[in-house]
Amino acid sequence: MAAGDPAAPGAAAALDALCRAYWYPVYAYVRRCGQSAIEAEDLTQSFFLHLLTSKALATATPHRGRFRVFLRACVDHFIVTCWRREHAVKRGGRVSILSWERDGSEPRYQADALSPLTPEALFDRTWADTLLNRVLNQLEAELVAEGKTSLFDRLKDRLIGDPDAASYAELADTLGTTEAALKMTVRRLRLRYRELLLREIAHTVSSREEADQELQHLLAVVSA
Amino acid sequence: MNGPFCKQCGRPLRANAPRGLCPACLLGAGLTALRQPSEPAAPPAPGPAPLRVGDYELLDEVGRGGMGVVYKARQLSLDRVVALKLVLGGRLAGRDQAQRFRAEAQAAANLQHPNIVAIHEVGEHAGQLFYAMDYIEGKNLASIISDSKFEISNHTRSVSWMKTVAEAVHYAHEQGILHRDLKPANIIIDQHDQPRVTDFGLAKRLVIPPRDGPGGVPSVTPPTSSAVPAKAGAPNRATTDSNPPDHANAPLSTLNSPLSTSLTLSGQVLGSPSYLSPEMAEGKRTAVGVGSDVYSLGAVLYHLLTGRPPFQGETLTALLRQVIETDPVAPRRLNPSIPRDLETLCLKCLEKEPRRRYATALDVADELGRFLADEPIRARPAGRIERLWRWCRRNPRLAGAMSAVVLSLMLGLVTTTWQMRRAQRSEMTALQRAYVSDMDLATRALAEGDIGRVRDLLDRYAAPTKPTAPTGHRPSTINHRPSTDLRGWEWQYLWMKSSGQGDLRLCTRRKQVSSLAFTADSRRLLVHERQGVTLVYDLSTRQPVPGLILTNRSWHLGFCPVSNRVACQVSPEPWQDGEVRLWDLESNTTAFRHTYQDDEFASFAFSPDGQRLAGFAYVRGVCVWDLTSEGAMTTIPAEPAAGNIWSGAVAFDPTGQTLAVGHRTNGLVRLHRVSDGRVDAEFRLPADPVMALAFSPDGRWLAASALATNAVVRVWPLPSGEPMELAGQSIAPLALAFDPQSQVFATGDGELIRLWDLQRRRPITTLVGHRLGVTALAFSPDGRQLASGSNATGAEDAEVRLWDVATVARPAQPDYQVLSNIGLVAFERDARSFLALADGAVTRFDLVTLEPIEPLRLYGTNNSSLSVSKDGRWLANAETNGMVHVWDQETHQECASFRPYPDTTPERGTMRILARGRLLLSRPNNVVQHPMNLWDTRTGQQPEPWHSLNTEARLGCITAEDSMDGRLLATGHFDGRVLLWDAESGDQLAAFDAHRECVMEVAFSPDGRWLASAGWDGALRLWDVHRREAAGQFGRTEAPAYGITFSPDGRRAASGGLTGPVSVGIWDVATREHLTGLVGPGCFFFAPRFSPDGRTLAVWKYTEDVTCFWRVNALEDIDRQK
Repeated sequence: MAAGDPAAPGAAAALDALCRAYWYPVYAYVRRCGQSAIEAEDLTQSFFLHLLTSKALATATPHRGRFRVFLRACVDHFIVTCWRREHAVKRGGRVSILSWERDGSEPRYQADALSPLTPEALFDRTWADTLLNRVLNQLEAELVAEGKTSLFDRLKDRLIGDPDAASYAELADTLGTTEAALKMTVRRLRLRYRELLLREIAHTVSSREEADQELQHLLAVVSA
Repeated sequence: MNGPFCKQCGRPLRANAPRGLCPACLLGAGLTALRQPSEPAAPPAPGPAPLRVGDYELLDEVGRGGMGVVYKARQLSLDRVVALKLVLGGRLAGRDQAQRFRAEAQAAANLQHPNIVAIHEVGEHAGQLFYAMDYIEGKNLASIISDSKFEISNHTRSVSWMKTVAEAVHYAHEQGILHRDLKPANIIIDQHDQPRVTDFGLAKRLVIPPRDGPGGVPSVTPPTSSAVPAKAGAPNRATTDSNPPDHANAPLSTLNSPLSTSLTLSGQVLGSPSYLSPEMAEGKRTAVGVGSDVYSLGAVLYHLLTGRPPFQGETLTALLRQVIETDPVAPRRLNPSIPRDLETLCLKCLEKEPRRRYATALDVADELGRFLADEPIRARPAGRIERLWRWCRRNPRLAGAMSAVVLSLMLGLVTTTWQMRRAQRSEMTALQRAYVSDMDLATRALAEGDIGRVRDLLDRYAAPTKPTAPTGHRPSTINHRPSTDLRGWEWQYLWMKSSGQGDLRLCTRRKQVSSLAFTADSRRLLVHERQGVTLVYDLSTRQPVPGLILTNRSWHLGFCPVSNRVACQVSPEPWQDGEVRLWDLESNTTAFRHTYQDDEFASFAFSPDGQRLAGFAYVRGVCVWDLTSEGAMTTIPAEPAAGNIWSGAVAFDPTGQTLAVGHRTNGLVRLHRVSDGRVDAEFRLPADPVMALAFSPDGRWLAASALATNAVVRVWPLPSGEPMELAGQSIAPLALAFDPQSQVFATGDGELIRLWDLQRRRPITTLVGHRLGVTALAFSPDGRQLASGSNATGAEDAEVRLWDVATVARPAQPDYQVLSNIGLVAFERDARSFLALADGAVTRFDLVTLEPIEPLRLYGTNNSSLSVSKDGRWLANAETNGMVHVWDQETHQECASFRPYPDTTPERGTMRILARGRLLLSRPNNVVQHPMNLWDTRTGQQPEPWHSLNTEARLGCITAEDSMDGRLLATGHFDGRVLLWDAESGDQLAAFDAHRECVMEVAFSPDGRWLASAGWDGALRLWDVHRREAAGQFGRTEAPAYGITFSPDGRRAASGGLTGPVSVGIWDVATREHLTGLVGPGCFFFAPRFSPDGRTLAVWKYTEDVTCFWRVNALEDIDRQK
């Protein structure tokens, strides 16, 4: 795991990126623990500041296996101890508050708030959603970079299977290509999607076994 | 199924799914890729629920088991409805699962018995294993038992079901099949009240004799997860997509494999733990046999008779231990009305040793048959000595106990008595366990809004109100309270939560109250007992008006407030000739009669002007009488008669020009023009029959409900528009009512009443109070009152309640009160007040009103922290200038003062005065992770040995508490240790490795026997102070535990936790089990404390300096009230 290893090249940048990416699951977790939107926003922000400025990531070896598990444990710990200090010095008085993703968090949480999940389950589910969104966004970005602007939207359904084989011909017509070429494109897209998905998960675990476990866990979470 | 679904796996799609795609399929694709990196094209994504499986179209999910999901499905080729079972996890199912699934189908498909659910087809669709079986309309026993209407006192019905089940199970045994997962959920009671055994989820072959001939089971290839069962010759068949069925009567499948194939996982516990035999609980594979099913039969019977399974435990481990080691509580202790023979029979099935049970399921059926025929059963109850002997043998201290018994037989009375006492203690423990698990169940029932169940569970332990009648009318409450009262704070709390607020019980009736109506002046209420009598209550005296009483056989009444007349049906017997009568309340005479032959009227309705009367008859359909022209009658045909004769409804709209008719079939509601009967509009409910109809008084809404498994209440805006379905309703209401302003809409929901604001499309509140299902609702014309009537059972009367609408329609209030910025509270011994800080002054507060009574000037007005010793004698206050003063409250003299920290004050809320005023625990304000300092108040120094401990941060002290007499001190540390000290000498008495992470709080029990600790690791541990050893732990939560305390009587402990249901936990000290949980505002609940009278629990929220108070009524008051 590159992000937690300070000796690894680009560790700080990787960590920063990860934290930015997984801002929302932490926010949703803190919200579900009973905090108001404003409190949760501040608390989440303080948490990530604390995480980035302390050596928590490097020292917390027992949790290093899976970043998701570790991050949640850190949030639990932080909420109670470190928050006292943050309270005492009036949050934000010392450091300027960064602005990560926070603006869209509360509306998104309102949609998630409907499901009767424990804070832990909600954290894991939003984590899975975030992870998948990151992968799909990157896949789309790659297609756009190749000049295929709307192809992702047309083909995204086929990442997970073929609704019905017959429709390939129709779709090929509308896209101005042949059925065989379209099938090849879809196949490549699927392969690339899987590569990206596994790479994204590999960022948050330390071994292939853990990647497998993590995938299974997330699959169980979203299937529940 | 509603809403968008994944086209691939059929799961519902959330609105915020990643890019609108199914997350499970997206992740599934990744998992496949990870496991098969070389395979470029992934197989189809996982998913257990394709909308179509081969020849079957999935209609609805009807159940889930350990291995499969069961759907109601339509077999397209035969156009019939079946139950289709799919393996959970779909194609991800492992080889073992697939094998077990096949074995399950294979075993069950051989069984052809009227009381066993038949298997039609076993197959595989795109790698998805499935089988199709009979779809049975009915309810499973589990839901029947949990229904508040289930009468556990009706032994005959329960016994007769179990006799049939035992016979069916015996048949299966004869075919070589064990069920191994018999439980109430696997027994469906069909529409003819016949039990059908289903879900051979764990079925296993019993014998291995190869059989030949038609319908026999030839030996063929062993199954694998990918193999497709071969065809053979019998009504059952096995198919795949590539090998579809050709017609309905395809030849019999073999569904076969070598009969020796054993798919049971060695040592793995399968089955439903509450009904599991001890040999299965222990994983003794070889010991599992016919006796295991006999045991389960007994366990189900036990549940039917007592209303609870033989064993209940909070955790699986605890439950399994009970199954293996503990005798079940004798059924007659739980329900004294159970005949002794039935108890004996039941306990014989539940013997721990299989050979002591009935040898076959047929023996059980025969014995049950004897009971039904009033013949003596063959089994004999175990004598006391025998029970004692058996108990000793199962006791963990097996050898010791056995020799003790042998000795006792030889040595005589003394030892025997000792053993008997021990056995009695064990029985007491069993009762305590029963109490604990009932409170836990009540807590869950409360969360589910099942108030009737909560009251039932609580009533089992209520103080006896009247002696139990030996015969005849049986009290519904089963009081198995022993000589000691088991009740505690949790019982009072649950009682309070399940008691009504803002309501009043007007009366009770022996039969269901099916209709209620207020007179125009809102001063009288008509109460109609279904097929009984109609009375008129004067609401000022709450008594029936003398003389105004009419016996009639009506299911439901009609009432016209304008003319003060009641419409009812009078007949000697159902389905005989009778008459529809108008009863004039003014003159107490009959104003109108209409005779009819062989019919029944389900309901009546008057037009608002009182000029027309409509009645819904079973045979004739809807009759409408014009009361102005001597009762001229027209009829509107109803849908073909079906269903209950008391269903179907009629209602006039506020103009009186339109009549709504809710039919018994097709969920049909038609609006007819009254003048000519023409249909103006037609609505449909997704279920039938229609049970209730109501127009809002402003004519803008029409509401209807239908009797269905799922609650259906629809409200249509008039004259047209999209109907609204009321979300959150769990049971289809038998009664609906609008308030006169058309602002509040009331529905029954089981024993709850729900109030809705239709305009804003939101629920207003839920009214809790009825013990049985709500069957009638009416708003008073002045809009101030809501009357509600309930169902009755043979054992429990119906109730009529009156609700003050203004009071109850307010949003639900929390069950706690809060005070801010008062720091920790110190309860005073009189239990009427407590001390806390208010604006820097030590202030006395009223415990009931939570209002400040007086500031105590002696202690100044500039304080930041306060602590009072447990005995109330010593008080320490810290001023904002950092000075700490210690006072003797008896003499009001200051006995010490010092400044612990040169530049700051002790942190608010964590300061404690300990050891009879001699030690002070504190830490500096605004310092994170600083250890607690212990000060000698006389010297102002930190005494040894505690001072040294803090020099190493890892070992530092983080909390401390003293015993009631101040002689012992316990400290909790960062490294998870709890240390026990002599507070006087500083000698360390014991060290416990208590927690994985830091210790948040420690507490001594009032009698000094126990020490409890709460840790960051979520554990709540108990230590025996005298023996200096661990004494177990209170459950376990994953969330950190921040506080722990004992109740004044030492029988309960309260813990503080993170949030939600773990905000505050109430625990039983004797059994260490969870009793109930309190949900507080937000998170972080520290320092729970009981008031000396044990009625108030205060919990402090450190992060906000907010104190939450939960207060319950005294037991004596509750008992008096009852």
